[in-house]
Amino acid sequence: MKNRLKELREAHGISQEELASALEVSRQTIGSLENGRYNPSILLAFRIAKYFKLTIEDIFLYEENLV
Amino acid sequence: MNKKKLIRTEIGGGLLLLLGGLITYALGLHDRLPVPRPDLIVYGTSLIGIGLIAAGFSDLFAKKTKEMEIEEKDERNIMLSNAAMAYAFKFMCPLMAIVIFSLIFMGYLNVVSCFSMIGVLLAGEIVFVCRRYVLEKRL
Repeated sequence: MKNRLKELREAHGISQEELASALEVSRQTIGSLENGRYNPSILLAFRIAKYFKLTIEDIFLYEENLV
Repeated sequence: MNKKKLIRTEIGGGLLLLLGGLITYALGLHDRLPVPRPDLIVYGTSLIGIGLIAAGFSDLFAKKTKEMEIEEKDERNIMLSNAAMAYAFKFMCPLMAIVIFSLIFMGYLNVVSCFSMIGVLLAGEIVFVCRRYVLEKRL
């Protein structure tokens, strides 16, 4: 699943470690999320959206929506 | 089981095993046990007892850092571990069956060893089926 996580993280000027610490996940999870290799659970997706003060759909791009 | 209960079980169980083995040996009761090598019982119980006590004390004094706790609870890490364990189980079961039957046909296994190992294999499969059923009902 494509997402704007890297774009949002860089726009906020935070590192992967800082984001991982804030979300209480490992840095590897953030890395895997950013390059689309791993899809988060719904809980993690909500926590990410809450952190960036956006909705889940603003961050995670479900394939069908791209058409 | 919460952490304190686990530590108490480990240390208590370890002490019980260690002292039980030593007392059994001291009183000469181990000779009455219907096993081929009763003298090894004290070594076995002592080793397992000491191991459990050591595990209990290390859990008691271990201090997890925030990073360690995050790594332990990280959903991706849990998913990877579960997937790897499932794959290892799927790989191990037929391999173990092949090895057991090879040993039987080569004459290296006696009846007790053979049925013990087959029992362990079957127990694993039964646990898998039961656990799957329980999880299906729950989720």
